[in-house]
Amino acid sequence: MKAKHQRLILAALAVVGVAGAGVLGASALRDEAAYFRTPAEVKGGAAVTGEAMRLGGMVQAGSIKRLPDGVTIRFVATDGKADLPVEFTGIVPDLFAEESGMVADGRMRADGVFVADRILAKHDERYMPPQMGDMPEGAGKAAPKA
Amino acid sequence: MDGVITGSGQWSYVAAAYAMTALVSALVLWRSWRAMRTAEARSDALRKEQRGGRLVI
Amino acid sequence: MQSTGPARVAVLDRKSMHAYANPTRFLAIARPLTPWLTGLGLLLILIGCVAGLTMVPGDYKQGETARILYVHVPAAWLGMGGWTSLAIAGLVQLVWRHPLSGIAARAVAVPGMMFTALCLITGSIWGKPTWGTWWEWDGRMTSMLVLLFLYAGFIALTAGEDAQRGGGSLSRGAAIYAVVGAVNIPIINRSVVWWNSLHQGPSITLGGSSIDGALLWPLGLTLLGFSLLFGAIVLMRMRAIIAENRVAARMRRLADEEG
Repeated sequence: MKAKHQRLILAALAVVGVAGAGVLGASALRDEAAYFRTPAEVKGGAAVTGEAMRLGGMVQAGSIKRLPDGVTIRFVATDGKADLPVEFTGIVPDLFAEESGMVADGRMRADGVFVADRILAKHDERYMPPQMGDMPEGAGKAAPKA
Repeated sequence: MDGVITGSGQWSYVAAAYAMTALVSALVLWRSWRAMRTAEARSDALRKEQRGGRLVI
Repeated sequence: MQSTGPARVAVLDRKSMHAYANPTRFLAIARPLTPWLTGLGLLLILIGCVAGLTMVPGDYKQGETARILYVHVPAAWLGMGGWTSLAIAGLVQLVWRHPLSGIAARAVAVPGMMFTALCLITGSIWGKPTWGTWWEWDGRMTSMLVLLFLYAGFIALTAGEDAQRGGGSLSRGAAIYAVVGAVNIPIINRSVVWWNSLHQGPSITLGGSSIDGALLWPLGLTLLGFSLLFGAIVLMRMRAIIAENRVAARMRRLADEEG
């Protein structure tokens, strides 16, 4: 066998090994590298009351309510499987809205409400001109084309 | 809180992103071009100098 | 002198001639190609940016900030594409010892790192008005930052060995580093699918694009334009390395002849 072939086989084995290690490592990190927990995971016991964590989900339609103090809002975060009430005092990003994604830093309170100290808006992968976005809510949920 | 970014402030973000892109890529392009010109000029000068003296290659 | 000269040069030069053989053919293509790639690339970037800034509407939610897409996406593509070619060049060097592969790997490192940095910078500028934060440690952003550090490591590693190695080839360590670092590329690509992340999922997939056609077309121009510019920068840096190698080889020969 020529030295070049030997090197080729060795290199191919190394590439396969490295790629395999990468995939294994990444899948092992699946939970650790998650940026946030979903409401279903929280309900399933992933959250300890009072411990700092990050919650992510969609803001349920019609759920945003302003409390009498004027600066605190309450809404329901959902992932389609479970719902979780969230309370937040402060200014939310422009893109924060109902039926849109959000990520909240905070902790679970004993009464089952997630108290957030910071809220980020999560954008989805769709980009379109304004006139298409003005279509009735719900219709925009599916593909923008009729 | 209506889920849309509005106002004129958004253009400053756009301008900053495009300006950074233009600045950094122009800098790297210019430096790469200059490094190439300098190196090739040196190489050419050296080759001519040697050709003038005696036959090489 | 006249009769012994050529033979003596041939013996002295056997090592550096090996490095010469291919660059000569390469240069015949690279020399005329460099200005064309530069000009066409800059032209397409200019048209794409003007179109992206003035001719298309803003996004229905993100408004004008969505226009950052036209520089952010090419930067991300070239940052990742850069390391992919770096890894291929490293592999070619390890297996075939092709003299141009090491030169190519060195030439790709700086523009690759530049586009990775631009991807992070423009992404951060987009993130502030959109998400409400400049930076978060989510899977996509963290893995892209790792890519930036990988580039920095490669540049530091090869800069240190430049002085000792002739012909521009990589050391075995640097070539292996380039190949192993490629593990990060599929991780960046899949990070938004595998893990919950703040960054949205892929807009453009094999199945189609979730960017509306009215907003999409300038991206094609800037993607192609920045890719051509990337190619032009790589060619310039390869030509610089080849010329430096030739100068070094001539100096060595001169010293040998006189000494």
